[in-house]
Amino acid sequence: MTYLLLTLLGLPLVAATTIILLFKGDEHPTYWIASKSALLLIAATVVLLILWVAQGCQPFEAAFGDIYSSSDYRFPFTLYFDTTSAVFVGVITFISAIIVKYCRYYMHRENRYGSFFATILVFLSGIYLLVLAGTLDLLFAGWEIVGISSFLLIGFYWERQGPTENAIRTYSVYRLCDVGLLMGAWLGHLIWHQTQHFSMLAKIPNVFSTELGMFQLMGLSFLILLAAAGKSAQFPFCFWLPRAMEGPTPSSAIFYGALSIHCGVYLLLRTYPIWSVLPVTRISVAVLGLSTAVFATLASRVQSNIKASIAYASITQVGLMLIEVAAGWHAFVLLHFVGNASLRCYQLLVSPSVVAHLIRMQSSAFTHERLLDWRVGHRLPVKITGTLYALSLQDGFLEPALKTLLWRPLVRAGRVLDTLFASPTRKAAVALGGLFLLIGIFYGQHRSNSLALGLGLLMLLASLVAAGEARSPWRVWLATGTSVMLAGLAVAIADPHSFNNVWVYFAGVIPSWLLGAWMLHLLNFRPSTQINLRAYSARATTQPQISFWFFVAFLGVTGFPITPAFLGEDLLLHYAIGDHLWLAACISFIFVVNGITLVRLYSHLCLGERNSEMSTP
Amino acid sequence: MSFDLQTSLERIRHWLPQQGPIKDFIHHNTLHAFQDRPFHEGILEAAQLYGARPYMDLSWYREALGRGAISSESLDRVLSRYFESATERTAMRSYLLDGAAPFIAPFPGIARSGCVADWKQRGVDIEASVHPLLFRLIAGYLDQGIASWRMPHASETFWNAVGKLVEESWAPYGSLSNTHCQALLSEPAERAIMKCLEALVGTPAHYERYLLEMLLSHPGWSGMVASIERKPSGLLIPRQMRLVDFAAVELVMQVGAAIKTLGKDFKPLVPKTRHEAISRQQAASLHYPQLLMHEALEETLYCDVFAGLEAHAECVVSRPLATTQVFFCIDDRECSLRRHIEEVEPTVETFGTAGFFGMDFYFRGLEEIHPTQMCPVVITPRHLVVETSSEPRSSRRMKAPTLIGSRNSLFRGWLATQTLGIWATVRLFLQVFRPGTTALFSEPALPPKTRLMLVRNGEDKDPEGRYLGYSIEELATRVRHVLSSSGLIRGFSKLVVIMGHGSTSANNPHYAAYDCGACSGRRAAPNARAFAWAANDPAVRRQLAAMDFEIPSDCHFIGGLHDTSKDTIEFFDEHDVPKTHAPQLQDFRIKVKEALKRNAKERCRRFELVPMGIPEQTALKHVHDRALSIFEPRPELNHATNALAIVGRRDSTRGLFLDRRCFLNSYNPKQDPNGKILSGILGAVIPVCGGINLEYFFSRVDNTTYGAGTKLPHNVMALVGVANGVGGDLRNGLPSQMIEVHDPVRLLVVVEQTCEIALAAVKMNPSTYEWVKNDWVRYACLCPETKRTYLLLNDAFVPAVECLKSPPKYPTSLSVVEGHRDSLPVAEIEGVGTRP
Repeated sequence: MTYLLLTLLGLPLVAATTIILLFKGDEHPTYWIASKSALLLIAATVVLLILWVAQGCQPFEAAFGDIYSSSDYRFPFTLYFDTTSAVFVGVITFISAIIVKYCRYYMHRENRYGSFFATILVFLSGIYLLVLAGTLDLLFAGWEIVGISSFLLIGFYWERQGPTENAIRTYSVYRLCDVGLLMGAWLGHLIWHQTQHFSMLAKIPNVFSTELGMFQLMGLSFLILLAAAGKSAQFPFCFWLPRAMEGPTPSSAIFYGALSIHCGVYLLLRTYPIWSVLPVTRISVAVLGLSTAVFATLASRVQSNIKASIAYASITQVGLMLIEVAAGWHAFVLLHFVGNASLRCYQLLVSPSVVAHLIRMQSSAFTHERLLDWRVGHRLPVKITGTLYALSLQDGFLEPALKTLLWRPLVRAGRVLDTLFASPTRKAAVALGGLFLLIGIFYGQHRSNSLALGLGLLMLLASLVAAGEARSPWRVWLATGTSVMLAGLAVAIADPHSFNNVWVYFAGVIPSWLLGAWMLHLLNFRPSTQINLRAYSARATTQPQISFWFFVAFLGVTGFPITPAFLGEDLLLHYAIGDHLWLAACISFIFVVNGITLVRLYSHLCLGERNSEMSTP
Repeated sequence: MSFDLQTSLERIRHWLPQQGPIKDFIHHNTLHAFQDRPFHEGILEAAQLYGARPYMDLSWYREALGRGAISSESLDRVLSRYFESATERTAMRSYLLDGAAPFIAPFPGIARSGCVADWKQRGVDIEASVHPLLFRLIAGYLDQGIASWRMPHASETFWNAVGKLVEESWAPYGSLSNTHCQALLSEPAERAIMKCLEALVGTPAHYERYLLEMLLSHPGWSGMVASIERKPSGLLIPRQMRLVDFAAVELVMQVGAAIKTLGKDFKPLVPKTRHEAISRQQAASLHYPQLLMHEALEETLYCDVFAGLEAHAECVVSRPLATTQVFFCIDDRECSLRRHIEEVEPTVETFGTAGFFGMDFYFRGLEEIHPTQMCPVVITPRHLVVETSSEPRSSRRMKAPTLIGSRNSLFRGWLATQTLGIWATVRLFLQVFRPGTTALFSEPALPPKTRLMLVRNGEDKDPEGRYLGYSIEELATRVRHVLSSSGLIRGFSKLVVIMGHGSTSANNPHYAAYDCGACSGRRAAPNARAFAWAANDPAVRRQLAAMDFEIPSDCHFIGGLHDTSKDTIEFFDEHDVPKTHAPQLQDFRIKVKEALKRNAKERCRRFELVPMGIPEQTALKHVHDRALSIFEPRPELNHATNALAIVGRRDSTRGLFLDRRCFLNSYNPKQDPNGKILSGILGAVIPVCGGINLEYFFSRVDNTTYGAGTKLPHNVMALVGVANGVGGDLRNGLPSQMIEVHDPVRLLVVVEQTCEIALAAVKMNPSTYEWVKNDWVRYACLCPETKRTYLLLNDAFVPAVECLKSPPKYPTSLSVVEGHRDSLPVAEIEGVGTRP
């Protein structure tokens, strides 16, 4: 059985790599590999489920040792399989097999056929990892893979501006909410003094039996809720889901109709023992679900395009699932998940037929009258229906609100900081001031702590500068690099124990950063090059390979689980969170800001339509 | 300079796309507005206006040269036509073949480079702040049934509806809700436009240009609004749509956006004379190489056809007497089926005529409430034909849609997902792994026997003033017109089949583009049925006899429908077939079945995923399943590769393999000494076939600007069109899946007639002549006496072929296509039309 679990995780990844590296995305070998892996996945899933049922449906844990371990830190590779995983694995395998077959014909002759299948396969292995993970850290790795494959498929038609912008939007929301899971995982470290396993979690009858503070628990619960809300497009993040319908229809169906939209529900089910203890969080989850359901059902009613209408309908049901989870009806939730995933997936796949279908309905003498009469709310005062309509039509103003509250201030702060460094004299003044500050700190009492504090602040500043920069790619890259390096340094200084382990972090970040710098150089950007970072430069068309490696570098620097930096980030927080909560908060903050900054940088440099006015730097 | 809003909008309307709601997708010349200019000039000008490419890339033409679609001799001929001196010619030739081909970006287009850019310079991103909300408002307003909560006040004009929406909401509508804009919204639209223009532009001389740029920044919605205003009946749920309201709302939003960034007293745009990014001459010289290659591409194809036609005309034609005559639509997809039927059964004679068979009516099917137009768009029918049944109405109702309505609501949706949700997987599984076994949605079963109310009593009219059916005289004239213009005056066989066509596709918003264009994008079943009904009617026969047009009494007409995607044929009113004719119909049915198999096999060669040597029976099964598959973006290839229209006797093309590229209209030159009949035929053939051809042409040349791009991410908006994602502009034109195998060439119309009559006939109708004069279609004739072909060049016919080259000969059609996926040159099928 453990091998079957590994097959589920590894096979799609191997298949994706083969498609990209060996066959360069040629249609026939690509499909051959994709379909064969789908078959194998079905076989593995069926055998797995049979064996598991034969064993009496008992949850079990498969430990594969540690990926990394040192005296005071471990990152175990542990998988966990119970009823929830079983249902999710079954649905994932079955729906993805249908989608693979569907795309055989649907994607025929499409550009980037191979990358489409490769991305779907990467997504599969990410979501298997997510639902099979035995620890929160490992779950987070799957979570990230799902996020980035989402970005790639929404931006599948990156020559156009719309998909690219929406891909950035989705990724930004994901990134923002990922911080919930990231911090959550490490708060978990703090609470249990080691990586907590879901298997243990399931056995603890009451988390209160551990020496846990209520506020810590509440913080943890809300962080988890934030992560779940972002991934499942719950209030106030509903707006991204309809806009994510930019990729080929089957990719929208599998991601936003069927699977990825339910990841938040899965997370809540998995961490139920943690957050269900406190009534206040249970009520919060239910209220969040209810408000989402009410808002989304209104929004769904006024959408005049079919995909957005289905998207909001799906969000509505996920909202209801949240209520069910909070109420503890877990079998019910699973049934609801299966039903919603199937129905929305099907609806999205056949959504183009709505024209033929509805027109025929309207022409039919039976149904015509009924269709014309569908109107809601005419018994309410006009001002109320009018306002409801305005809110529903404009996604409840959620996006502008979040943008004004969260992102714009950062950018503005970054700009202000940037102007501080504008002239040489100012630069010198700031540098001098900084030096004095450092010296002052160095001779102060808690030397290492204060130094770390100074570095932490600098890292924040660098990150903000990167976010505010709108002209020079190099400055963005430098500033993000600085903030990422400073994060490592700060932790190393703050906690001398960590010195032996922080190298893992640097081993991931430094090569990635250098790779990115080299690629920027190859893309003909010089440190002095100024371009408009709001326009799109389409380097992926003109220099596809370099763009690809720049993408890899971007992933590395942002701590995506392809380099040790992912582990390193975990490590950093492990050390930081112990005694320096503020440092952990800073690191999480730059994690979010750098992620969003860099995805924008990458998109604006590499994606977009090739256009003569942009082709010369 | 004074500015008159109405006349300006009238001029602007001219430049907007003409495509109507998607349920009535009708092919038309994408660049209709430029048809009064010569072709090459027109497309260049259009490319500069809309920001498009006028031709394919040079590298594409080189690739065409490599695969033989452009022949080296044709290129030489074209060069010698364009260049006097030999040195220039050689220089150009060597450049065309292997000079450096730079990347030529599409022209910027006025919408991108004009006012939008100007506002951007002043820090106002006018598109980003106006478009998203504007598109939501217009989509919500026009919505035909996707939203279950209709926009309030949608029954009023768009301007009033938006005004009331803003007024009745506490929540803002973007910039529309500031006090200044609210004040504007309370005025009449026209006055608001003037005030906005004054604030935004300032100088009246630039108003019109500004409006045009604004509306062209989202050509999809602007075009849709204009075309709904032109033809409000295109919407089933009526809307009082006016372009002026739409423009007014957008202008007010722009004012709001400007106020938001620049403050209440912002200055209008500095009026400056706009220059094109590059001059017309520069543009022309930039695309000159492509123009030459394009001409060579057409030359290659045309020469092959001319040679084939001339060689075929030399052959002696003798056929056995026809026992069955079949009328098909002129559609290029019927070209191959006709060939196969004739190959299978030499005693079948086929004719081609516009697929509405002269029956120009609105049709209201059984249990339907909206009549639909069943003839070319250019005709406004004056008759309504209703289908009735004496049998009781079916008890089975149409099922509630899976896609909208209660399943998407809160509580019922919850019930549905908890219970029926899993059922959706089963359906999906069946539809993906066993396509063709389950239909996407079920329809109520109609009673088998229905009647068409074809003949009217007295002068009955419906409330809209349409006659409820035809008079006997009207029917007789229509029957005579169709038969005689196709050349069938005597020699009627016992059985005459009137074969309309339609196309089945499962998951396809562009379905109307696949049906019969001559029936305004519908299945031609009612027309074929009505024609057969009329021609069999004893009263009509008597009337015909009185008009000196005798149809023998043992001749029976029967209507049928060819499904061009499934390759099936059904017959109508079989119960009316006399016993004496039944065996012959049965025989024909068997023959046609065989022909359909071969036709399916011939079509399958174009589908890359179908193995080459597929047996005929399997091919038929394949095309059937393909049409019903929800995952198939290409249920059929439709008109792709269309390139020719031949108006003449079938004998001049019978046995000629034209690779499904040819519209075929029957016409007997001997019965038309003054070209009157020909002129009538050309009046339909040139706009209809030329429209199809040019829509494919431009969608192929620039699939981003003129076409709809790939259909895979398309999303149905308001049931009137498709867009990418949820927030984009509507995408007009054809999706890339429909045009990818199409080589863009202009339609070559060949008429079988002498040069003089051919020229006179085409000049009789000025609007038809415009197409020919400006080279939007190429015009040629096959002289029935000399059996030579002539091509119209600068208003004069010149001999088209320099040296006669016989096309290759093959025993059957299937042996021609064996082992080929690409377009094939003209070939001769031995023993079909010709006997030694």
